Amino acid sequence: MSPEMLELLWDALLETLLMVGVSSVLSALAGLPLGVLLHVTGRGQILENAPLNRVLGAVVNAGRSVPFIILLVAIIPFTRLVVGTSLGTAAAIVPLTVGAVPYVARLAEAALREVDHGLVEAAQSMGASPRQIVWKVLVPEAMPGLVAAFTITVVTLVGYSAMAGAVGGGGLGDLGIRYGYQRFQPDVMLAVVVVLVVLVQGLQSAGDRLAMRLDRRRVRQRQR
Amino acid sequence: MIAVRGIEKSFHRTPVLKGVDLAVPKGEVVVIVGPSGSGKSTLLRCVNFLERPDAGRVTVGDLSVDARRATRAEVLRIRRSTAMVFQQYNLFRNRTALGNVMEGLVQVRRLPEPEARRRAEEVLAKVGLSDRLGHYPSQLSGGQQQRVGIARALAMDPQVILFDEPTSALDPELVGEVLAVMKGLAREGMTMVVVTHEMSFAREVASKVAFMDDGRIVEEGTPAEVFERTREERTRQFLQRVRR
Repeated sequence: MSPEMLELLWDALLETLLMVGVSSVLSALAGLPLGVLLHVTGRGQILENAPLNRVLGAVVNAGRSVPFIILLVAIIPFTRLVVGTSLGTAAAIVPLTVGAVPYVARLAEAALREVDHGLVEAAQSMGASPRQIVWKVLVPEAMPGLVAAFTITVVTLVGYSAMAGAVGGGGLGDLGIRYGYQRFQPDVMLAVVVVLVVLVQGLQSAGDRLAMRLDRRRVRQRQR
Repeated sequence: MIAVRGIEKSFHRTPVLKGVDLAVPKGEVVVIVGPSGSGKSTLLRCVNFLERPDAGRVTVGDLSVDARRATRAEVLRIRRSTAMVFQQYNLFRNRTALGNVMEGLVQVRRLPEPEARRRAEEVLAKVGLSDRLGHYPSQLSGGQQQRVGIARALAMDPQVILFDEPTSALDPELVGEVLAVMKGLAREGMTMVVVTHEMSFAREVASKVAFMDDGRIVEEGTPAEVFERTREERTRQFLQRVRR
């Protein structure tokens, strides 16, 4: 592969990392609170509120039912409003974030649901407020699960970002389509796929390791 | 003084508590016994509003509330002057023994950390776990975990500790160490309400035994009265079953 091609590949990788990085952080900032709200307003939870829970659940489900490629074009007016253009890497971040928020919310809710309700009761019995229960019990105890959920989101966003490339978002997906597919350069396509595989592997094992480090629940060694 | 009056509670229209009165004078140990499903645990959980009673009055110290009208602030006040020990220990699994005991002191009591640490070390010493401060629950035996649970309750300096079947999840050989800690507390004058199947504990430690069946307290009195001079047929049947 020519040095020019390698440079293109490098730039595309940076674009992908930028898109995925920024949209991951933004979707976590919006999705985690939403997930917490979904959980605590659920049946039998500390701030049970059936109407609010139903509305939130419906919005999140609606968000998840729109195929990403359709979301990408459907929210172009919104994207223009936010970043001033619908083309380029910055513009791709908007649909990536919007698409990921409902996933983060549901995954976070699932992770929070795994927290033993007995721990919530223990905190309640001490007189902890709902806010304290969320921040000092639910979130810390669910942390390994939340990290795992976030890892899934980041990996999914790598895939989505390739689609964003199709509408001018740049990145590895864009490179693969334009050079590998449209210009019949299978070596470029192969290189793109290899880079993506390595990237996803790296992200997933980093997430797994972090989740494992945070998890004290399993028995490490019995010390008696 | 802890008291409940006329407590009623239904789950999905099935009445579980049908008007229960119980008084626990300061410094006394009241042991509630009875067949499973008789409402013992629900009664205990109504005292600190883990279950909200459908009707009745709950009194803890100088705070007395109508269960139906209790505000969130009143519920918090009741919970902050009581403490509970759970059947499944309910320890925070991502925290050490010390961390478990300190958490409530720092977050709810707003104690500065060094003071909370001192208090936590003191109560963990009391339950015999001075050498396990840095252990996570997964590194402790069931009996040790439950003793952390008791230390956690004790640390909050409650007016009463509510024990919800504290030894039912334990292997038989670990029951003794937990009961021994509870006996120690009773001797020191801690006010305790204990739901348990350990009849020997009731006999030995209780100031008063209450026998519950079908959502009501059927019989109550000193251990000698309930166990030796049983008045009610239902109590007699139950005692015969558990003695076997």
